[in-house]
Amino acid sequence: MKKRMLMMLGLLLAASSCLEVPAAGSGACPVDVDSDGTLALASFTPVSLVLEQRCGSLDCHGNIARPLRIYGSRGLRYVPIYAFDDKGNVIQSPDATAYIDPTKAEADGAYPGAGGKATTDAEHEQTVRALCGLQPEKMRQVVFESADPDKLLLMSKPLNLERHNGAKVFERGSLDHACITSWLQSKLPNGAIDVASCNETLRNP
Amino acid sequence: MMSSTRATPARGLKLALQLGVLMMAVGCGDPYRDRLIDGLPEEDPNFQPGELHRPGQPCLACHSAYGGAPDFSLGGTLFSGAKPTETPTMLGGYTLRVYDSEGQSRDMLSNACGNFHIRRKDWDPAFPLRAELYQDNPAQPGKLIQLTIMSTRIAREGSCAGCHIGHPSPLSPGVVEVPGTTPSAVSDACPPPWLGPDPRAPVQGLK
Repeated sequence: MKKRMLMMLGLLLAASSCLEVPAAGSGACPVDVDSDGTLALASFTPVSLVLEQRCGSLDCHGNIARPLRIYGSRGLRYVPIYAFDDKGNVIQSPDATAYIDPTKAEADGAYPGAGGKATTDAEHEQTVRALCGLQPEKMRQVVFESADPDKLLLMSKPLNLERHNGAKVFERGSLDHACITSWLQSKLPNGAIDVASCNETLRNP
Repeated sequence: MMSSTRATPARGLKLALQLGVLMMAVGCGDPYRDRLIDGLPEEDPNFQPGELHRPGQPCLACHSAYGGAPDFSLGGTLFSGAKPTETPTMLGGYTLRVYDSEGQSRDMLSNACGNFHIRRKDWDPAFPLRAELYQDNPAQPGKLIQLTIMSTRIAREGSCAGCHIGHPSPLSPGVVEVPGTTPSAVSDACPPPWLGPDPRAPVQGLK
């Protein structure tokens, strides 16, 4: 009996370890994929800018040490610094020279710089992948099955319903809350991103 | 004759106590902060701990309840010359004004080695914070001229060098630079500035 239970547990673990973690555009994320396979980021951009402003400073989620990374012009910039070699070791990306060598970066104008160039599409994409990879199954339930968005860490943390080092970032019913919630629910029937709320809250520092 | 390895109650208690002491010793550390402190250079023998020491370093690594030095709310260093091709030098005589989320503000004047700080017992601000940089107005003594406003809020980090590290990079805007200034010759009156390495670098020894 015990052996059978252990075998079943083993099979269950093996099966669950093979589950694919959904990425952006694969169904767990409220972002469409264009016909060429790239993410349709235009609709996400206003939301991304709000997250960047509220959460993405270098001492919070604009930090590569965080599981949830927010990229953008106000903090962490995305550059392909790291790559993998044939054996899976992390190495310096061949494209990273311009970013690592400051003299070349200045000469080439390659360094995007905090407060410099506007947030790039590559940065919006990295942000959306971080958001959707955080709790993919719960995200799917929110995006397609009308589950409560505030149950996601993405919302419960800034609402301070869950322990959050950054404490409360916004309130329920605030413009920030409306903006991000509308994005999470934008794939539901009659769902639409509340761009007005996103743009309005960006006017606040 | 071999002695029995079976634990008696007294022996078990002793072992549990030893384990408890060991766990307390190990468990009280903060690996992130330990790594941050260990990554900083040794104290310059010519500049003992004081207002001029360790310019450019993350003050609150040590100036905190964890680090043991006098507890600061905020601390940092002002520089001239943060461009990638320049060598930053410290700047004194500039005022950093910080507003907290409750509307309170404090001014901090950078000293001869560019350092400024405020002790937690004097002000424990409510984050996030807004920072503004000022210089004296030569035409109106006692008045200040605003030079720049920090483009982002300070969400939680009290050390400027927690984010403002070395030259600009994708991970940092570089040291806190006073705009419109040019770097001067390095002075012997101050320790050499610390410009990294980035303590948040996740991968060491890249090929």
